[in-house]
Amino acid sequence: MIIEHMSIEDLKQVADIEMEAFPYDTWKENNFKDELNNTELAEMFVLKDKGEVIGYSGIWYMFENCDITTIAIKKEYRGNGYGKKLLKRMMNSACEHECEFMHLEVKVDNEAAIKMYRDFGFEVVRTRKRYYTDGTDAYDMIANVIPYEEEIEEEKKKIVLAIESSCDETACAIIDEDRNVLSSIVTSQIDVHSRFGGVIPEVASRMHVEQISTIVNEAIKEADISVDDVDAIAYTVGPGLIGSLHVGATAAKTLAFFYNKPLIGVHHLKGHIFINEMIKEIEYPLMALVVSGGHTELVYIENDDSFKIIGTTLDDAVGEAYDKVARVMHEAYPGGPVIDRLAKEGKEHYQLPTPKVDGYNFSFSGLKNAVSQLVKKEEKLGNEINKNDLAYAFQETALNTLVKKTKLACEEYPCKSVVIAGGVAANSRLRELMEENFSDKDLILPPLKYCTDNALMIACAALHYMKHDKYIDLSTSSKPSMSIEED
Amino acid sequence: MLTLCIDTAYKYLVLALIEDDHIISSYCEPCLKRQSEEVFVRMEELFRNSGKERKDIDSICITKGPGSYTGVRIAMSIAKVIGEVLPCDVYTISTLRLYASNNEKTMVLMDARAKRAYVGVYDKEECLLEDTTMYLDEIDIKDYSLVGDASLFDKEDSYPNLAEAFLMTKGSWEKVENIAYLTPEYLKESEKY
Repeated sequence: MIIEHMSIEDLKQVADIEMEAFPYDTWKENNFKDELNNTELAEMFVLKDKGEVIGYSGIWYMFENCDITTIAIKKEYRGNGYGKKLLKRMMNSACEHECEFMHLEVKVDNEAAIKMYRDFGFEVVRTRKRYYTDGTDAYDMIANVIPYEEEIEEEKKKIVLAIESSCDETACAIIDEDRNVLSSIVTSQIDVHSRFGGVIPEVASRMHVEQISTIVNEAIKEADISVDDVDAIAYTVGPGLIGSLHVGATAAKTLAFFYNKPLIGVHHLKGHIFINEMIKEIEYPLMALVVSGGHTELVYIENDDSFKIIGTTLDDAVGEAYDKVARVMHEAYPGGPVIDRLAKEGKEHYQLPTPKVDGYNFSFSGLKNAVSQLVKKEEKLGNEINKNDLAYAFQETALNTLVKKTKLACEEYPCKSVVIAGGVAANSRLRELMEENFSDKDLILPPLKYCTDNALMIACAALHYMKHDKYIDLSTSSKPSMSIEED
Repeated sequence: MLTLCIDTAYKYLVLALIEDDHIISSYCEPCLKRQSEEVFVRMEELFRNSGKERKDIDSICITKGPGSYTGVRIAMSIAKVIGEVLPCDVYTISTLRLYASNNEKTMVLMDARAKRAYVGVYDKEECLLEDTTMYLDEIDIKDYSLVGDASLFDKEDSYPNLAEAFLMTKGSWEKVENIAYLTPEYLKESEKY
């Protein structure tokens, strides 16, 4: 709840309240505009709650006197002392203008208002007969101007608790609506999965259920809040591994159920996109290149509630191709960081075919197979593979395809900003190529710490779901192959 | 003392609110592979019918397995989260022990697929054969009355009222000392899958 000077943007809402409060001698938008332009003598205030105007008032200054020209509170908000807040502010402004007396007129039958004015020291000095158009009399009331203490109340910021468990990270984060991080806890199963050379779904699910309560409880303890203080519980509803998604979903629903909180089902990739708001505001329209172990998508985002997939992979995700190529080269899982590192030492040497797919779609399985055939061929010939050069060839081919298509997409779809999101967004060469190619756009490269899965990203996305009132019920199913275009 | 009992481990969704030695509200219906969607909706009904507040529970008791992996994890996730966060006491009971209720000389069978079954043998409160996974041709059913998937042996399937069974088996509930370390009893290694 704040009081600020009235601006042109407020006038429509103000005029609506005016109509409701004063059906007879109604001020029109133009009357208010005149008052706003008269900055020498007049001052207009609005009382706002989350951007909504719920009351307003005006004052005229005339030397040692000042005059309350109008004061009104929206009908459904009356009786809460909001009029007093406005009156206190005007008393204090009158003090600043060195006024001694404050004057106003009030309908003689408006008992509630008269009582409030008396509380501020106003006294009736005369009655004006048939002052109002509807024939009612008015009291002239006058009070001495004295300063008042205005309580500065801080609105309690909304708090979101979010849980992520779609793949191999178990995570819980708590943030407020201004994205202040109260806590963010992540445990990764990567050590276990690297032993198997990839994520085995049943293993991942088992680890999630082991970890989940500790992670959630730790996040709550670290944030130093009770779940009662939370305004919504969010979780990754999809896409992801079904068994893993179930654990996070059940944990989130458990909190929502026992603490009676609204529930938000977040699309995992929206998390990867909105986490960038931890760094700066996103300007729309936005083109997102989503690249991870499970996804390769070009998503055109017109505003925070409009997602359109304009291109996707027809076979492997780019991150998956990295993992498989690493395996062919007998390197560790996950393949992304390994190949990125090897490629830095590599040079142009091996030739790999550039994937040819129409439109904005991608294909990486051909490229992956070409790598494995090349390795076999060289082994047959008895040549030792230069891993650095092979990594270089694969990485350049794969990433240039991504960047080229993104550039093409940006030509057809007008956009102000471009973002890369998902695990592969951590790739140093991809970041370099993006910088080279998108200097004309507001390019958003997520900080490395946000590229891997975490719950902060789910919380950031959840704020947008809250904004658009997108809540789900306790019977919602997890959606392992959910599209980003779905709500 | 108010205890919320949940079994999502197998073919049924079982819920019971037990106050001291009485069931004050319960739900027990077949619910194969729909537990995740149903459990909270039915819990809302359960509390509404009982007139109790959700946060009034002093403890929660769940089946810890064996059963369907996903199913076992549902009740386990609920118990672990609310046990640590609310917090409240957590008790577990073997799914097979629950099915045996307190009957005499009972063999509980659950289909573990690939010609195998989860088996447990109980005589009232006594365990005669620890829960295990066996090939069907290794199982000797004579001497026992069969509970659960008896159709594995061409007999009629038989499932007791599992909400009642929670109350009957109260003496066999095991209190969990460290909720963080509580894990399901899958009776099969994940590495095999």
